[in-house]
Amino acid sequence: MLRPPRGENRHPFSMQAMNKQMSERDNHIEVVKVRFKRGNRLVFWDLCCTFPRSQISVILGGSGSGKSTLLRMIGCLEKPDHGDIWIDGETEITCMPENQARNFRHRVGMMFQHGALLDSMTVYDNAALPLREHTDKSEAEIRREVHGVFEAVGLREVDRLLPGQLSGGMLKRAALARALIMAPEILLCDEPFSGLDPQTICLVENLLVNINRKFRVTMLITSHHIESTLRIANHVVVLTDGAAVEGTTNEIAASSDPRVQGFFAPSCNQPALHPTTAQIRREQPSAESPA
Amino acid sequence: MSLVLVERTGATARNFVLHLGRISVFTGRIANRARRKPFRIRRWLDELYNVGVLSLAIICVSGAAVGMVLGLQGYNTLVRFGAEESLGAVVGLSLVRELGPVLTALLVTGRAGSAIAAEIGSMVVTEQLDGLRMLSIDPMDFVVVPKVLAMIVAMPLLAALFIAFALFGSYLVGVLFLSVDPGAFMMSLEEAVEFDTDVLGSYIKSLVFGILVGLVATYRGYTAEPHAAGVSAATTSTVVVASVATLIFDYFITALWGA
Repeated sequence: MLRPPRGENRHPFSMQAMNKQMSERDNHIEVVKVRFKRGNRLVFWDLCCTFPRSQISVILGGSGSGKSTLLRMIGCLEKPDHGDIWIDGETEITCMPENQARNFRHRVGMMFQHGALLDSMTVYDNAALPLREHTDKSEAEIRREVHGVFEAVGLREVDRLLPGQLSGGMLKRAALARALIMAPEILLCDEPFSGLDPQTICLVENLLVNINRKFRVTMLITSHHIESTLRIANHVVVLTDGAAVEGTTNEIAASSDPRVQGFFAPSCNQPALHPTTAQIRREQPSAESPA
Repeated sequence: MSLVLVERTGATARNFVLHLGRISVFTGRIANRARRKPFRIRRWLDELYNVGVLSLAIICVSGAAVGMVLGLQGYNTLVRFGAEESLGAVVGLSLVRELGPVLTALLVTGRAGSAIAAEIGSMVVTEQLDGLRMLSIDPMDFVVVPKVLAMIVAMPLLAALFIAFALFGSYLVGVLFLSVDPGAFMMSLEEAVEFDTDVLGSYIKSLVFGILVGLVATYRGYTAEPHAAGVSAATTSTVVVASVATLIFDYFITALWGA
């Protein structure tokens, strides 16, 4: 299903309409006519989009398009000025008071862009924290569970390290481990590929796909990374001009919408070389030619 | 020109009232969380170490230095009236009533208060507080309350230590270097300083200063703008606001308590 572009983006919000849509596809999360302003800047205007259950949805969009804001709204960290966000078609989360939001967050895990691990605690303590806070499990059980998740995300011998001692890829995996420790039904990943080398990007991609298959978790991933999106996404939401265009990966890739096309195949030409660089390259052609 | 001045004054007054309201709500939330389970003893002990134990060196050295200066200045003044035997009383009263609690609060603000604001501010910047919220853990409960409670407990203890070291410093200068009679020094000190008024008043002052510094530091850190300049501004304003508030409250407590 391809959402109409902005202007025609009017979701006829009613329970009947939602039920009809639910019957077409099992939507886990439904964002309905969300409006949000940050200062004087309009971030969302009647944003409508859906996220299917147990699938990987990638939210694409330029810088400042509101990708992280949308994730934060779904995690109840920010409230929209107007509109609703429905979970399972029955729980509306935007009007929740903080104590209810806290209960709701038991169902959600979030992997922040820079990890957001507590830097005064070891990686092990970070991952064990939710279990110590919300369960009556013994230390032995907690240790077993934490090491199980560490193994699932491919982390070894990091128990005593502080977050500041981890590499970028390890930090992402540690953040993922902490997000997964309470077995959430929704996993929000904010820019999991940013700042990583291509090899580590592939590693994190595989990790996310495996976790999605293994735990059947509904995954929402924000990204700029088109190649990764095409490889892992079941569903794509492109945020543009405060509204959303959504569909399956193939639908979005084949979309004739100029804003989507512009995002998937940007028409930026190769930037002109600095005159000095161009001159050096002309003078030393062998430096560029393969050996 | 005058209109701009009025506008700015109005904006400043409005901001002041706004912050006063917010810090009141913040205080209410801390009081509410502090009496609810779970009591985070381990985290409170960690914070007590950070605020108290790590401030020991600066408090002891500053206390001794202030006491030595007081001893020297007091002797030079008293000797003019032939009352150098009263050095213990003069030094003791000024330390217990005023200098002990106030200087300790200023020193702790500079060392531990700024550190608390910077730590919480950087947790805001790096989304650590949001990370806690996403784990269904209230950052007020987990981060703020242990720090404020540690500050409230540590401040009177540090003030007592400051006074003890200052008295030792003044004794050292007065008795060993300036040949004041040790018996007269101790007797005048003992006779002048009363527990009900002076010591208790000193304790209440440092308790109030502990609450003030703890609240200001955590509030400024918690509400820091999420960027490096925001953390820097939070740290600076913690030191300025807590120091000024300490001095203002000192006047009111002295006036009300009569200490």
